[in-house]
Amino acid sequence: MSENALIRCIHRGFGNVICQVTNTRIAVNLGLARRILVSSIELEELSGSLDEDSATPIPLLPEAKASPVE
Amino acid sequence: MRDRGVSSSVTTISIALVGNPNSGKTTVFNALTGLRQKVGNYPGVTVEKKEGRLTFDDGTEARVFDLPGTYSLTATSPDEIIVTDILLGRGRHTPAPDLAVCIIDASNLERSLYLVSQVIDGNVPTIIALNMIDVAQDSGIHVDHVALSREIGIPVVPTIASRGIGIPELKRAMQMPLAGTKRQWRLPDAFEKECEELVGLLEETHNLNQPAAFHEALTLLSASTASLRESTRYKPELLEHVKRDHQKLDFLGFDRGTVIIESRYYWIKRICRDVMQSRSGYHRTRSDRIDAIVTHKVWGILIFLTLMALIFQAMFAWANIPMHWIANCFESLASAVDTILPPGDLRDLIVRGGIGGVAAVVTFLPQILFLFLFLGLLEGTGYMARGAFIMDRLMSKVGLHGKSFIPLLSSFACAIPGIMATRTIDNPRDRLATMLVAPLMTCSARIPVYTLLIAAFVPNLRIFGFLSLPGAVLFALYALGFLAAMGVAWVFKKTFLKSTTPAFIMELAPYKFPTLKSILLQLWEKGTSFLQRAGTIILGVSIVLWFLATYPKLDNATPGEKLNHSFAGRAGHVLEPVIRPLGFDWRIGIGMVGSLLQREVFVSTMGTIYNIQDAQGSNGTISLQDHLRNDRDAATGAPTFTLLTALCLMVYYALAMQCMSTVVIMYRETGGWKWPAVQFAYMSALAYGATLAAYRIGLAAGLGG
Repeated sequence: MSENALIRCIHRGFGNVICQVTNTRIAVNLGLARRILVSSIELEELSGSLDEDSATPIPLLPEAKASPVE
Repeated sequence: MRDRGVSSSVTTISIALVGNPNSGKTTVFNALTGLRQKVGNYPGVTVEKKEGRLTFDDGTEARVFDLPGTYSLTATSPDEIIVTDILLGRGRHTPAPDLAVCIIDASNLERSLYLVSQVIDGNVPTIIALNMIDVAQDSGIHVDHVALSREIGIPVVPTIASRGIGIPELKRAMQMPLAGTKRQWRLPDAFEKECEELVGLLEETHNLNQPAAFHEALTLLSASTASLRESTRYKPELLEHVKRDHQKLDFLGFDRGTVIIESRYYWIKRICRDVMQSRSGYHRTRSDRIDAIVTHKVWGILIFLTLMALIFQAMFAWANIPMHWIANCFESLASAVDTILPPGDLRDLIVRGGIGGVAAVVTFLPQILFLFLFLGLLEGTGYMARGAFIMDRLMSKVGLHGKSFIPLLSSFACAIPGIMATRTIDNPRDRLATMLVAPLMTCSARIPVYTLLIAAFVPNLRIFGFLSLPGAVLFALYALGFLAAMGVAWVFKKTFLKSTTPAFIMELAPYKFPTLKSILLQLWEKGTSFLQRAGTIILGVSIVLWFLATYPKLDNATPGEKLNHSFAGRAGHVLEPVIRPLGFDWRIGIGMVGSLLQREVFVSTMGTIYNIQDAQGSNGTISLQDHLRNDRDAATGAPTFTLLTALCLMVYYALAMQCMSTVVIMYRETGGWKWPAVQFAYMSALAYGATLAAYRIGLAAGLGG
């Protein structure tokens, strides 16, 4: 579990998941969260480790690398 | 680059307040203009631009626009498009502002700077109000506003708008001469080159200004090549140019869909690294702990239902005492006028028409205030968005988006703000479906009708030890409206509004205590608005109805015969064959027609009719409830109102579109008469059908007596 995770799943229920994105809490449909937030390997981690209605923070993505654009 | 001379007192400058949803724009707007626009702790409170005037210390004035919240200027929902159009000078009725004030939530600097970068692209002179610095500090976040100003090159003023802190400094910053700021974030070189070329081409061929051309160029370069084929906004030679750009950039390995976003965030990350310190990692906040309970799969539903039951219980049981005070005041007023004026038409008009009609409605003010108190608490604490979280699954089952729940819950107050709140929904078909069913939600105008009939006919028994039967019936009526809305939405989404519903995504603002001032202000505004309606429309209708129910006069007849002979009585008899199958007589018909304007007119109509009927028969102190209970058909002696009649009337009012203001707002929001007509027709048919079914079932169950 990375302390620097950008996106964390902090609670799940009613087919949605509450994620922490930087300092914001965002409610996202679980299906959408699975499609856009996690890779297939992390998806398995999510499905296996996240208890329904768990308030335990679970990182979905490691810290994204900023693209060198200049 | 535009310069602006604020010191001139001749020219009134325009200032746009821009920011992410729930960043405190309206609170800043109210602090600057002294107005009292509604604020709430959930995204999407402001869905249209609001205008106010700001007077600076030196007497100069500015027009201030509070724009809807948006996360970016590439958004697609109707409320967010307004922001883009105004900032890029494409607004139909509003020119580009002379100054943009970006209201930034200090605890969400990174996300907020994304929008700031787009506003700066528009070449509008810009100031940042770094708002909610207290909330950021509580979250362990410190933003160096001096460094932030230096990095971006625009003034940054720290504020806590809810307490007025930083507002004088913000006003001073607004008066400083400013120029548009140069874009600081950069695209990769090859991308930048193609973008510059395209901007030039757009300026030349499509007559766009530079900011609008730059915005369009970014949109075109990041679009899919397939989507260009459907575009009719651009000339074919421009689209050919864009297709060639796509080929080049794709060949160079750019992910065109994300490169612009990544480039902006690269710039934002560098700034945040230099100006912001925060605790690293995850810290469970108070809101997280509350959410774990409030959005729990079992506790969440229980809390939701308990809150709803509490609201209806409060509206029914607790509001009774102030209701009696108001009723007594009107009775004293009527008695005083009765004593002062000599008998005759003028006295009847004032006492039976004016006071009788208005009193019948104003008595329900406490209920309305209780409803708005609870709705204000739900909105102010941040529970509204959690309600959407909980209800999303049910919403998606009928094909609606979870976001639809907020407009529907707002419709408990009134369908008009509810319909306008649908502007936050991106998908046009989902938005239309939500608008079409919003008036089925039980609005405050139905409360006088329900409360009058429940108090008169539903016995005051206790159920489950704590809930009164009248409260439970009221709850059931709210449930009926909600279930009808869900059912109709399902039918619409399965038929002519078929579409794939986008997945739920919504920001959950941290919980907070709404200030007593904001709650009281909201109650004051809703209360005065209700009284204004009572003093204008309802008073007017009551007077007209008094005339129609009094003339032509019939001498030497009973009050009932006189009413029967009047214009209103004749109209009621014409209508009676249509409503008789529902168990309603001609007097109820008069109320139904009168209340086509707005629902609570039914109560004032009944008040006026029974006052007139009673004019020669009593001392004027019998309540409307007693009149309804005691009224009998002159010919048969059967009661006009029974428990079944009351239930059927409530079913009718739960489902019928008895509100012309809603029809007008539907016309405005859909841009034509087609959808208001569809809405009026389906609701009338639904109300008639359901009332007929309820009456037949009630008769079969033996409730008719």
